[in-house]
Amino acid sequence: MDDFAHPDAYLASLRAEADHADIGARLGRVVAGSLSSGLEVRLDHDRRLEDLAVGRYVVMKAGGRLFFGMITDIALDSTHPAFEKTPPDLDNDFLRQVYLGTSTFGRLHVSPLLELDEHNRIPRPVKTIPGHYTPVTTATPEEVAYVFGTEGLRRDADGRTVHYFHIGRPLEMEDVKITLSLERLVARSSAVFGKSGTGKTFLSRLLLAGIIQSDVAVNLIFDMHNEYGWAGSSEGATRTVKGLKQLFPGRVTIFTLDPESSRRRQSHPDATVTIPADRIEPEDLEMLAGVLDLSEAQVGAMYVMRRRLGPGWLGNFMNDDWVDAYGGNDTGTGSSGLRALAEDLDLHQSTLAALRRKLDRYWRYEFITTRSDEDSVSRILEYLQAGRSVVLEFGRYGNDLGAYLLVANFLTRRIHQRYVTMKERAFGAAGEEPRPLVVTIEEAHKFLDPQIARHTIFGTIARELRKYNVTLLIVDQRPSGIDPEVMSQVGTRITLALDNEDDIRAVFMGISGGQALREVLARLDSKEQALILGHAVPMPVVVQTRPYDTEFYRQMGYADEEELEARFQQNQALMRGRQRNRLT
Amino acid sequence: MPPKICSKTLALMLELRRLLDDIEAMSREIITHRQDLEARIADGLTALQRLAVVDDALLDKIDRAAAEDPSWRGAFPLGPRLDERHRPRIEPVDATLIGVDGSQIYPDRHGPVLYYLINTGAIVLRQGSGQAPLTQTRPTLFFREDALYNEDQEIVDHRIVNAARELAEIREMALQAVAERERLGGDLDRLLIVLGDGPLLMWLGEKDSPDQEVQRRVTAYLAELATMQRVGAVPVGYVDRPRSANVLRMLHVADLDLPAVVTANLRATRYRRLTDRTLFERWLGPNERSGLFSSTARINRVDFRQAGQEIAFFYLNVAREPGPEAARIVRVDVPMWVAGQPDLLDRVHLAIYRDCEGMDYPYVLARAHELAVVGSREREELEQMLTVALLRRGVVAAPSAKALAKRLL
Amino acid sequence: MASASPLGRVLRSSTTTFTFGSLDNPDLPAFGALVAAEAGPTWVYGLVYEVLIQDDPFVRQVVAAAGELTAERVEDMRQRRQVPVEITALTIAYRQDDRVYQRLPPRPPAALQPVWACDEATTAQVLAEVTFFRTVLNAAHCPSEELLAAALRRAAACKLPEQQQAYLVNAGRELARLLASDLPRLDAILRRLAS
Repeated sequence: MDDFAHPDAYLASLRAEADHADIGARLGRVVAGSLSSGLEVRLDHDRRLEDLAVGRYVVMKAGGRLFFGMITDIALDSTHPAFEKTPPDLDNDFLRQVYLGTSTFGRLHVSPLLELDEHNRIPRPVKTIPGHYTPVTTATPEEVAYVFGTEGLRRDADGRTVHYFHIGRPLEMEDVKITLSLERLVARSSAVFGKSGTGKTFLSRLLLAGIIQSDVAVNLIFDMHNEYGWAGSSEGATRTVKGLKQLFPGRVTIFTLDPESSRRRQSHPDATVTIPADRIEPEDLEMLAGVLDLSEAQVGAMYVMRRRLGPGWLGNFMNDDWVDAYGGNDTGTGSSGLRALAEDLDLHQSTLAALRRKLDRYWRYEFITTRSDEDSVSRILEYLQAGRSVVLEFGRYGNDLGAYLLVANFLTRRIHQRYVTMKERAFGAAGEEPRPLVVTIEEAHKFLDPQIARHTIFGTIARELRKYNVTLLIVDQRPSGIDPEVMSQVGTRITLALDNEDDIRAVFMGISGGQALREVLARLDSKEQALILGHAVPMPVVVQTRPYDTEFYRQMGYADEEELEARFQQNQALMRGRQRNRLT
Repeated sequence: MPPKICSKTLALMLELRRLLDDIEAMSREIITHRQDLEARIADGLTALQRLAVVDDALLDKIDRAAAEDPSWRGAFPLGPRLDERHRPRIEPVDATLIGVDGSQIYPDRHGPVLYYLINTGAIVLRQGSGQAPLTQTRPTLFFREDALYNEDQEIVDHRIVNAARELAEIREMALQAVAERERLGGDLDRLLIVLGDGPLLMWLGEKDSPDQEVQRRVTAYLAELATMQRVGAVPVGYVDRPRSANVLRMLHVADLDLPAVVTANLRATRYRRLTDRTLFERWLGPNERSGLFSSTARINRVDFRQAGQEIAFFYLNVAREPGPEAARIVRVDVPMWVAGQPDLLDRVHLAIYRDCEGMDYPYVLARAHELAVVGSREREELEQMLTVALLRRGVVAAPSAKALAKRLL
Repeated sequence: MASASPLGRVLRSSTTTFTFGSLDNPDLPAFGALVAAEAGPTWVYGLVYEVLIQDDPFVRQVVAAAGELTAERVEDMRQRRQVPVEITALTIAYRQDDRVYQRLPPRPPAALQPVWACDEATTAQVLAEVTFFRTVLNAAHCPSEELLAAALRRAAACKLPEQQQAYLVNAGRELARLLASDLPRLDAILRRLAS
């Protein structure tokens, strides 16, 4: 248009632009698209597709607004189909310069994410789109930093004080720190997804450290593979990394299910967790139906027994002596033991026998006690209310999915119940509300698959949002296995690389316009690149995750022995100095 | 006359249909006439051979005829026989041929401006040189009152303009001859032939001017011939389709007895409506010329002879193929001082024949004609220039309505 | 602005073309050259696209004659005979009040107006914009592709050496836009510009 009227001037400006740094330079113009399906951008002819990537931010200024978008697809296009069928002679320099970029050109698909009013500059969701031929430029670090804000404690747009936690850096921008709002992260259930080996654990640990450091919530972490508590494994130079307790000595408590394992690993547990047998309810076991392969009859039997035999039903049922003794030697009935029990309960003996067999393994677990005086639930709750996060190590039981499910579900149900009580009490009176709690579970799809979801407390927690101040942090590699209804309640989703199509699609469940980011997710590097979208971030972002290393420890406030010593010396010197002053 | 160049035919505004009967009758007439002509020309050919010997008796008859009837145009034979046929006996030698032609724009009383224009064209071709010939055009604009009006205060007519052109042509011939001889460094060995289109002898038909004026023109004309003689240039009048019948008239007289040579008999020539050309078509082969003759016109025998520039002529067949149908008879006028040198005549004959190669007409004359002709476009341009010049002086010159109407057609 | 002497004079003209009569000589304008003629208060610019050397019976006669053509005659016809030539130019722009407009002029040049060859500075100025491309491409009875390529090459040659390639590339891109749906035509022109 205006460029072509004066070719000399246009060319001069092109050259000037090219000399300019690449960041902030123009990529092309908006030529088509819609709010619902995204924008099509036609690349300028001096821009190479090879220099661009999905996941990068672009900026469009139009109508007094600044639009932020993300490149979500890259394509080739031409003015005429013939260019595909019969490519022109590109050995000729002149022809190449003419055709490339003019008749054949690159096209970007850009998802509009955010708009800022040019004057008051408050980020808002996109309600319109830039008009035809709006120039599209790569976003500058300043612009990106502006949207995400600086790390640390500061006021948000609504004037509230919020902790912004630095989670990583955007692609190709080493100077920008991407932050997420920890308050918003814990206000809803969140998720960390990624196929195995992508670093989910590292990333979760990072987030949990942030939550702990900022004291935005307390955490209850069901540590399946003993990665969070004292130390975690690493493929890097140091074979281990510091766990949450090392980073935050006074604020993290380690409970263990397997003291022997913890001792061996020297993970410094503070207490052992046991599950009293007579507290175990059929509901607690019902969710194991898939794992244990319990039939409906078997599940039904448990409920019958509970009703008929009372709280100690399980202890008795699993006790050989009790069972054998059942029915006494009443020869009148002609049956004893299991058979008598079955008759009495009007159940099939085979049902009971099978049930007994299946439950036997768990019954052997050492963490199941017959002593009813131990109340791990209350203990955990005390710590939580005191502001201390709790990591529950599973030791060897981490490899047993059934154990993991049973313990996590058992504890969480009861803690959640207490939370409900506390919360309702707080409504009525001016009593304190329970501290916001984040429950971290791994292999979440086992808890949350459509079959089980309604039976586990986790499904409930996810669905009730934050009604009772409890939310989840789900760590999982099969998001497609998670009940869609639950998934749609997950506020913030942090996704590392996934390669299964269903998993990729599932990540965007319940997020409007989310499918546009599909390509971005599909193209993540297999390590240390994550797509973050949802409640905790102003707009979806691809980051190179922050490393979990000594620098990170330091920023979390960790000081090693030498430093502590040095600090102590310093303080001493200071005090002595003061004393001396006083004396004189 | 130069060969006709195809031009766009104008739409005739005749209704040809009405002439069909006449055309029929005409064609019948033509056949009859043709047969008659054939017979008479055969007679002429016979007579030429029969009366071939030139003796005093013949010469006396010719003199008598000239004296009896001043308007009688006969041919005075200069050689021993009437039926001479000459082929050049010498080897061809490169000559320099100068062709000159002129054209004119007649005064147009209906035009925006009153003027007339004479334009001459000249070309100098050096045979064998491989060089491009020199060309020149020389236009002259006549606009002064004394040029435009005669003593009767009338606008000069075509005859005056034609006479002026004739003079301009001979003058150009002389100028070119002088210039070329100078360029040759005065070297007189190189043969210089200057061809004009048409007779070399001035035509003084009807009196178109007072004697004084005519005399002035004759004197001027003769002077140019003398100039050419002085620089050793051969002036040639080249007549392409000669309609002259001088030789035939002379043959007719030859057959009369001397006492019978009276005006009445002279007029009743048996060779009427025949031309010398038709005679010599049947006599001269390619590259053959006839014997020399001299015109009996008074101006030739008196004015030109006195100035030493009496004009002689011969007929030449410039065709390349034999036979009367292929023959192309032209008349070549040369001054007597050229005619008296047979070698020179041969060389002139050869040079002309050579220049007619391909066109049956001298190349230099065709070109000279081209150079001289003023096209309608050029004429328009000239008139526009004139109009603009006048406008600058605040004079608006407009063509008359009649002229405009004519132009539209 | 132009040659010292006019190339010829206008014979006939229309809104879209003008034809002028010229003489066959070495200064004959080339195909694609820019020529100018006055039309009232404006200068009309056109691109030469047809040079018609008229049928010359004289030459035909001389050349067709039996016998050898002498060197003098050849040289005469080559150097001395002024063969009338009709040159037609496609009108593409006009200048009025010192501004150049790339569109059809209000009036064509009148008959007998002298026609001038345009010098490099004028050519560069008149052909600076790309609007005239369409005029050339849409012209009837005109070898549009050849003409446009020739005109552009001449215009590029009027620029400084370091700007020439950029001018042609930019022109090529504009053509790629205009002829996006007529690729054979586009390719034809671009190839002529490339070589």
